[in-house]
Amino acid sequence: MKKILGSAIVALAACMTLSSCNNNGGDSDTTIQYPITNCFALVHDTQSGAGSFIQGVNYTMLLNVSQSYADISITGLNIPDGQRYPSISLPEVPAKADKAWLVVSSARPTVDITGFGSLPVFRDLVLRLLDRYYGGAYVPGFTVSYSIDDRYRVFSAREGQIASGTIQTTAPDGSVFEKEDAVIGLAFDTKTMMLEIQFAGAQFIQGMPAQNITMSKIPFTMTPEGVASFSIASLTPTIGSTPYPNYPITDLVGTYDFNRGLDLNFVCTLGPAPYHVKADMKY
Amino acid sequence: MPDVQCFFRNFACVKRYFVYSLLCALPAISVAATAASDSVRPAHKLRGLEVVGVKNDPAATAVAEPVTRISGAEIRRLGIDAIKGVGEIAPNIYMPDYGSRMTSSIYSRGLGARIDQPVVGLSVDNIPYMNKDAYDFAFSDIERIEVLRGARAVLNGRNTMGGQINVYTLSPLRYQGFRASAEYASANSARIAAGYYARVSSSLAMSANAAWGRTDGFFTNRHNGEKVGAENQASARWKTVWRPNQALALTNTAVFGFTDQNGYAYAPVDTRVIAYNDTCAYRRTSFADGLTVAWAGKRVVVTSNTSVQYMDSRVDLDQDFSPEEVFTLTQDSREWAFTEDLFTRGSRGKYSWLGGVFTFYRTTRMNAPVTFKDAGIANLIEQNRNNANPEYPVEWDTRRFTLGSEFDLGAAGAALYHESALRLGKWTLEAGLRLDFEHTTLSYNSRCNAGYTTWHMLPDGTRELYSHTPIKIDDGDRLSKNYLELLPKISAGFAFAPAHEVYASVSRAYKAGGYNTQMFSDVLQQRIMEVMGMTQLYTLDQIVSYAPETSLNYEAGIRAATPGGSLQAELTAFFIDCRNQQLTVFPPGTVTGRVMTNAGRTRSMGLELTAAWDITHDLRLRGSYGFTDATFRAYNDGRADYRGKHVPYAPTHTLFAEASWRIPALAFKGITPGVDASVRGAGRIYWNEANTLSQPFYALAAASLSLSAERWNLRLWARNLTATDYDVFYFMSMGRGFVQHGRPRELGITLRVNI
Repeated sequence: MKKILGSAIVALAACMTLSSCNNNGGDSDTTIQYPITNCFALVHDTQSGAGSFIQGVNYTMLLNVSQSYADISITGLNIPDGQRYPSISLPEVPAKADKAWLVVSSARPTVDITGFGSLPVFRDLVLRLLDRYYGGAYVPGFTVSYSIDDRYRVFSAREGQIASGTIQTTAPDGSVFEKEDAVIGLAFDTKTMMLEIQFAGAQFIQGMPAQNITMSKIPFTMTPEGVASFSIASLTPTIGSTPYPNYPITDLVGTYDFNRGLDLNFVCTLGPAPYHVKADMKY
Repeated sequence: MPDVQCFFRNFACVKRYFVYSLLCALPAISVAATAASDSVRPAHKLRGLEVVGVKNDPAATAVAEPVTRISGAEIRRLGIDAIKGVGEIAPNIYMPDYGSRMTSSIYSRGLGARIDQPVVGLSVDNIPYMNKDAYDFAFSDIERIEVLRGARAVLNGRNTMGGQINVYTLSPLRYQGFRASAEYASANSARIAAGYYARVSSSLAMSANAAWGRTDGFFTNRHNGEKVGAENQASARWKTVWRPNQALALTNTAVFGFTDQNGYAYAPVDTRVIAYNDTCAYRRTSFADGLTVAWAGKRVVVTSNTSVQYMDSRVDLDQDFSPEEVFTLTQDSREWAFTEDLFTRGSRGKYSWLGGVFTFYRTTRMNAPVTFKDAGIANLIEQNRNNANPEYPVEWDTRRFTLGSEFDLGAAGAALYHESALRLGKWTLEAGLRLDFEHTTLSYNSRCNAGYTTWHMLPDGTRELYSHTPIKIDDGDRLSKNYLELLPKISAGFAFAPAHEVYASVSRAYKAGGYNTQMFSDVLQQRIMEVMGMTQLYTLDQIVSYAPETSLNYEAGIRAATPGGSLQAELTAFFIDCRNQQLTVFPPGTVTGRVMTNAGRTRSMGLELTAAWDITHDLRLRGSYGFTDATFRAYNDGRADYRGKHVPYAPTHTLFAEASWRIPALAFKGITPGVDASVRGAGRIYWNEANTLSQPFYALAAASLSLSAERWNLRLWARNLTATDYDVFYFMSMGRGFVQHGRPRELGITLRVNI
């Protein structure tokens, strides 16, 4: 199980460094390159209804800010029928802003693959990118979806995700404690289908020392649209890599929409008292 | 306005100025008497054939300011052997004697600091002491001490929110001959001092002084039976005064000091028994040289004060002050400081002025490791952690480990200042401005090489190894900050009668910002907790750095003297609005990990009354009283809100009274007896922000019997004559309160010889 938080933000940032070059398109065009590596791809076969995960898919987007289009390249994409595409290029896909998101989309993008006699048909390509910074590191929100050959529906994102927002804790006496600007890391292991949730500096009650709490081995499922659902009856959290069985977590349930954010609920028992914790962290 | 050049050309002028200087040297609290004899105070002059305290000369200020002056005779009579003895004599000045000579906390009008920057400046022979750790040193042949009360920011800049203390050593131009003293007192305390003062030529005079002292200390460490507070100290001074011509004067003072102290007399407040096992000691070697050069033109005097200061110190502390092996601190530091103050002063008719440039550079290298020992590891780390997770207890790899910290601190600054005064009949108006820039840096390296094992307790009571976690911390960085402060002042005085004046002033002052290296223990604590799963919520800069503390000071007073000056009195009222107060707080929602912050605001107001009455030439009374009501306007430390509470450590009242009677009627064979009685007191002193603990007002009586002849003086003396029981300091450590008891009754005998 990958551990992402603490070093997660740094790792994410390292894989998502931006570079700017000014030599594509016209001489005066401004371009930005976004290398987004080590993504998973959920490939859903619309004919059989089966879905499978592929790891190690990489996306590189060269955004031409001046011309409002992006050249997208994909490497490491495998199709369940055994077809492997070492490198796929989707040039000059229109780009536009949608509130805080950059949306690069095309109903029928041009495909450029070398070494193949017949080219796959890509449809309904939607790449969404949200610029975010956590702790001084660049950790963007990123999802991409598309269909191949009118049969395979692909949803792709990074296994490591960061969510930020408010955590609200309701004590047994009904009092409410809120921690704003809380940060939660989610590591979706698409091989084992287990989720690990990491709380950075978690505080569930007033006066509680801020702690890095990890909740591991939470089974999850994911829809072809990129909505993960997870739940577990009980688990023992770890703090500093050590289990804390005297602070059990129960009734944990939540959803993570890779395009919208996190909803999470669980019960944390501190001493004899149960505290209901809710995290509502939308983009 | 007397022509300065008259001082050099005309013997009559020289004589008038020399007499003026003698008047200034009389044991009088205020300068009303001197003011009575010279209603037009010169803004500049070279007095008495030498340059003495030119910038801060109270006699040369245009508008009257509250000053407490303590003559050399009073210093000897009251047994003032260090700067801490000045407290209470100057109203609302409190300098508790606790810890070691490193602890020089001065509280003035409710303002004060236990950490880093002081609120009162100190200069000795025009050398501005840049580190308050060096404030406490043994006196030898002090000519006089001036306590300039209230904010002194325009002329003295940083860290003078509460005033400025000027110490002047005896000049070889004022005295020639051989002086020596020997003293023996309680606690096996002994002191000898000697000084030789000579004129080398008509324009050159030198003096050489040396002093040595020792004491067993007044308290005992019950754990090992050793005396606490023992000290050996020595000092040497070489002073040179040179007048190469009528317009030029140079004074150089080089001073060396050494002190070696054993023990901090801290006892738990519940047992009041000093008992700890680890070493507590303070050693300091210091050197300072100050050169003052003054050139007198026709209408202007240009003065340069240059100083170089060096201090090498080491403090060892049993941080828990208990017989347990918990943790210890060592702080080893070396510091250099350089200062240059170049200013001019002049006058033209009713207008006088003073303006100058001040620069300084200070660099400190410090090594301050904290060592955790067995009981500290067990109780502070393992127990707390294992109580939270008994099924997975941790065990430290070793029963002793060190948090290493090394620092390079630097500070440099420059200031421009100017003060102008205008006399309009009985009115005097004064305005001043200072622009102060400071650059401060901190380079640090924090290290820790430790580790712990986590066990898993099995249902049958046995345990299995769960994990081993190394703790390897090697952090370093360089931080820097810049500060710019504008410090204005306006004041007005009205001399409604000879030797009678009312005055008022408004001024702004500040206490420098910087980095509190004592907070690094919190930094490393949070780093270790981070390894164990806790989160470090704040940056190092947020934890250790603090911005300047600023104050607006309002003051009004009246001083009066009878014709002839036999009775003088002064009443001063003040109001201080102190903002951005430097405090340590727990960040919201946390119970561990302090940060430095400028979150406080204090309101301080009060009164000061001083009086001196020369009933006869041989019978003198003097006294002073200070009242301060200092409360927090804003201070929430993350656990509690202290708004409205009294500021701790600053006394509400200070009191000093003295009667001195020289009895010529009982003189025999040229020996004149004398008797002196005095009392000084302070309190109530609140020990915490919550004001739940305090020291009530206490008074310490002193008395002495003396025999004086032409060339010698023998004094039998007693301090704390009634053996008053009181505490001088309180603090919390690891959730436990500690106090330091005040000194018990002391008896002594002192012989002074002048040849």
